[in-house]
Amino acid sequence: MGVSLNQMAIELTVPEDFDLECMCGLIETDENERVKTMGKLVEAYRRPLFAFVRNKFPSYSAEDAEDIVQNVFITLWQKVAGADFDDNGSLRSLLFTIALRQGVDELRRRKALKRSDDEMAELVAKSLDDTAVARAWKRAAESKDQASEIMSSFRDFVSCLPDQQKLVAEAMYVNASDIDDNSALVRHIRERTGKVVTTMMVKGAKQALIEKFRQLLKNKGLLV
Amino acid sequence: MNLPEDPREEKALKALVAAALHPFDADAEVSEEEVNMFLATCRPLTPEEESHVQRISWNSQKLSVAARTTRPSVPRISTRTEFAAMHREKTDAEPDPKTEAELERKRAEIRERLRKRRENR
Repeated sequence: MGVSLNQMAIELTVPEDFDLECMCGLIETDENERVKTMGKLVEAYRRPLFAFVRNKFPSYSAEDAEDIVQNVFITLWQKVAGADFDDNGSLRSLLFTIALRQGVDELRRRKALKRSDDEMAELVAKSLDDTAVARAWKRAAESKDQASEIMSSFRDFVSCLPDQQKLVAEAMYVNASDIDDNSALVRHIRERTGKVVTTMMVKGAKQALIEKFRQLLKNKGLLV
Repeated sequence: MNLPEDPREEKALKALVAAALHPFDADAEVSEEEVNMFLATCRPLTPEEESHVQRISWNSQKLSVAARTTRPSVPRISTRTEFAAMHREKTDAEPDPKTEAELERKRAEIRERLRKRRENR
């Protein structure tokens, strides 16, 4: 029996026991069997993993996402070769967890991961203050799915932006505590890419990002 | 109230923009439920993205991943280790016979557990 997890966007249509069969195939003594299984696994999962990386790390280029997904499969291969995986767990969960880890490692490598979860949450809480946006966000957060959906939609928006605007989003994230200092954002982009962008461009891109977030809140009926 | 002109509202939105890019719970496992939920809501890929997906492959003969080493943006797992993992080439990274025997013992145990899991499904 086939299971289609999504027929609207990214399809992962695989037989019901596909993951278990793949785990069995990957640990086979016959190398040809292992390689064949890996081919099937790559074919089935490369698109969903790519979409996942694009969504979770929207400031990365499509090439970066391609590299990360390719490395996910190499890591899995190595884990199997080293008998370093939980055969009682879910292969799907393992693949997406490796993708998340690799994405975060890349953020660290770029020195773009500057805050812990708590620090980021605290910074947001301070900035929200007693505003209409804060009240809207509180309502969204009451239903965890709604808040996650808004964040995910926003990341999708960022992932499709031209590179320069994407860099502004990344700069806003990295300089979250100093977000109004446009020259700091310009500096971040210059240090990251060696390219000089104007304050005007940064200002415009920032405004577009803010406007998009506001629109997402409005679309959910959370903000007037 | 005109929201675009209120600096406090702008500040709140900027903070949410920054937070959207933060990988919360990055050390946690991505559960199967989260994966399925993501797949149910994710956007379709653009043709450009699709062309990148098509380049992701598993070619045991050529290890097509080697081509990626031309792009330095993402840290690479060394080709040497990849070859070692694929048992294609003897390298310094290859485990000694004792370690290899231990690994094979563990793999055999996993094989056996998976065989039972398959039988019981």
